[in-house]
Amino acid sequence: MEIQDTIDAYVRGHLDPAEKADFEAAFQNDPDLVKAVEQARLDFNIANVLIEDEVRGWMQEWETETPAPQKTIPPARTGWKWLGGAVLILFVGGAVWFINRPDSGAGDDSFHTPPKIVPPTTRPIDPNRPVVQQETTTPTTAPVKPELPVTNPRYIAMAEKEFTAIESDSYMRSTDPGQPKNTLQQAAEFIRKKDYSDASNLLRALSATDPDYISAQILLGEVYFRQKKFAAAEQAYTRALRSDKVSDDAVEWNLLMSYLAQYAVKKGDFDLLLNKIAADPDHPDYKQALELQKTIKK
Amino acid sequence: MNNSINPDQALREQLSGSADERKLALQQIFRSNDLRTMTFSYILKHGGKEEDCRDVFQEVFLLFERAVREKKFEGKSSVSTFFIGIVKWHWINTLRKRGAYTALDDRTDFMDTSDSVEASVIDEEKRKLLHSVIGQMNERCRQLLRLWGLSMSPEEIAKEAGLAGPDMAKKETYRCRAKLKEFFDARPHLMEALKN
Repeated sequence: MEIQDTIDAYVRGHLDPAEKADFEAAFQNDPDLVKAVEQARLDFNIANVLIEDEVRGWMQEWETETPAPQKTIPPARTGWKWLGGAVLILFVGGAVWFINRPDSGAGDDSFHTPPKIVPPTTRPIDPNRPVVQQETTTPTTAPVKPELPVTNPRYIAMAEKEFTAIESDSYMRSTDPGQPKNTLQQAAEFIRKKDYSDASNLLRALSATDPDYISAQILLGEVYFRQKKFAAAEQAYTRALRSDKVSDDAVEWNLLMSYLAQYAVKKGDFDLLLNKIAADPDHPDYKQALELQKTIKK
Repeated sequence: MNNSINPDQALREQLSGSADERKLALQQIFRSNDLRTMTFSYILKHGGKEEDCRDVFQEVFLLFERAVREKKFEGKSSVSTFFIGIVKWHWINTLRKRGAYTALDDRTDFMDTSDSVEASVIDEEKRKLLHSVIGQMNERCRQLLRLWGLSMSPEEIAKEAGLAGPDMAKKETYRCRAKLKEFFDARPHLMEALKN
């Protein structure tokens, strides 16, 4: 085992220069040692991919909890070059807050927003506004808080009922038993076995430059949806829709279901997309959208 | 709320600490407003679109994590300087792949960073092959190899993996690596394709 520890330390770059030189001199004339080093390098690369997959999984979780940087105020210590941006963000943030603030008049004038822009009395009151959004309009100077998960069993049940699980099945059908499976097919197989953790690990590992990235995002959306991680599913479908390599029609319905499952906080997005699909008789989900419009009003 | 990241030394210690410490430290970096704002501003200023920003931030975060883990970040610069150096290097490579690269005026800012990070990048083809190998491993071996890759001691591996003790951790890890060796011995073409 000692030689293995030395090989591992060499591959990790943990030997000091003298040890490294000695070791390299030793394996020049030892083919077995060369092979052992190559194997250790492979082990190390596999370990790195496993670690990277784990970190990607964490990032997906953290991303849903992390507010976009535009909504935040960079600390002054980041330097003068950020000051202009900070002032602009403060101004815009103040305007947004001013527009959405309650009618109490307990405003914070630190944003220096001219009151004439949007007089409080002109702000329309939407009777259908979700309760959660009303709660978040409480005046505060604290940083933007992560969106609270808001669930409603009725909408989740509807979304799960209407969700179209076509992607994993189609990948499975394309699997030729005589050929090695590619990442998408392996992931589809994990999905079929309900091994969502392994499926998402594989899918998250594909970078944005990979030709299969868009398909991976669509499958990932399905994985997250089945895990009831609806915000993450929404993000995956949104990433897929950014590409012009995929038909929007094929992805929009399941994105709509991701919105529906988060109806209390995504009502606006849901209504927009539902109306878009319901206004397009050529959309494959046109009839379903019309039905859903009726159901959602009940 | 204090959004600033840890002093660098403390951060490096946390990253090489227990699994929980490492995860917390990474979360803190990932959620740092400073790093996000700097990254997003740089990408938008240099021809990127909003949808590029998040992807670049995530890819750079992975490169940063590995660089710190492999001691390639030696603390000669601050965490944010090192991080933004990787952002610049990564974004230039992205533009090159898109055929849209034009020389940026601040290349010298990240020469040192790119040298230390470039060697860590596993290209897509190899990554796919490695995933196909990982697909053949059982969950226990994946866990043990991941912990071994984090340079954890046998004691730490035993604790994280719920094994009886360090000897067992060493033996089990060794057994998983022996299985991998068997796998590659039976597939010399795969070994060849994966060689650096």
